[in-house]
Amino acid sequence: MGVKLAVPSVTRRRISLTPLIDVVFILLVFFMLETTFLTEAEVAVAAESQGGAVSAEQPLQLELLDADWVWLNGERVAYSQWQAALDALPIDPNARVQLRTAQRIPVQRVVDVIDALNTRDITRVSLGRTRGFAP
Amino acid sequence: MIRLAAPHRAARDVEVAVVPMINIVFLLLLYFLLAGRLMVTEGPGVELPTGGGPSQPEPAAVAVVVDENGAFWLGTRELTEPELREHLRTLSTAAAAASVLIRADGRAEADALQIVLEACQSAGVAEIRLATIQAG
Repeated sequence: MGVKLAVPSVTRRRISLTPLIDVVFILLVFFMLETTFLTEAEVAVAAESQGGAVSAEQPLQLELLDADWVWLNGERVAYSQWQAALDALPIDPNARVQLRTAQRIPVQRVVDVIDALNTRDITRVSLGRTRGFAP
Repeated sequence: MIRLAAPHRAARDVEVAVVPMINIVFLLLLYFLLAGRLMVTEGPGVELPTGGGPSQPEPAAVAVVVDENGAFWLGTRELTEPELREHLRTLSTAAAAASVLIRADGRAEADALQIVLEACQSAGVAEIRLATIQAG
């Protein structure tokens, strides 16, 4: 004398394709627009210590005052030639580099210079502002 | 006169084959899901400078964004210079060896970068890194 349960009707409905395709297309467009294939990297920098704590070693001085020139240990070198001038200097990889920039130098230029130093295994770069003279 | 036969086309030929199309769309979707990474959309959009080594970036404790105009952002909030200094100071006292990642736009002026660096230094931040896009 059991209760008679209704047998669940198993009418299988076919999934309608059109809404599915709509959703998949929307997902596809979202991922196409929001995805980046660029790889992010980093360069390590240090802030130049203030107060002029002079250490025994003489750091390499690099100054970026305008777009066309680089001041390498106080000597003016054309930007296109500064890496050759750097290679001509006797630098050991542990050398410290003081990179000083003028206000209007774009960040891209600063990163380019640090990048060139890093490819020569010079990684101890401290960033600071230029002092004193302007070109 | 030559009689041209009217083009005979059954409705079925015109119909796009739906199932292969879905297959391809699914493949494209999987490709973008697996091969790409979602962009960081928080805060202002910056064009990072190209360069930098192949080293795998580690997550930094805090990321300071410097946009094209030299304004400072922390997440979605724009900060003034004193606010930035204050924030970095509280951060570095909370975590002993804090590290800061500077996401500066390549077109921003170095002056804005120097302000962040000076703020980091006066706050005693141990590690400072500049975010770049790997070239090539």
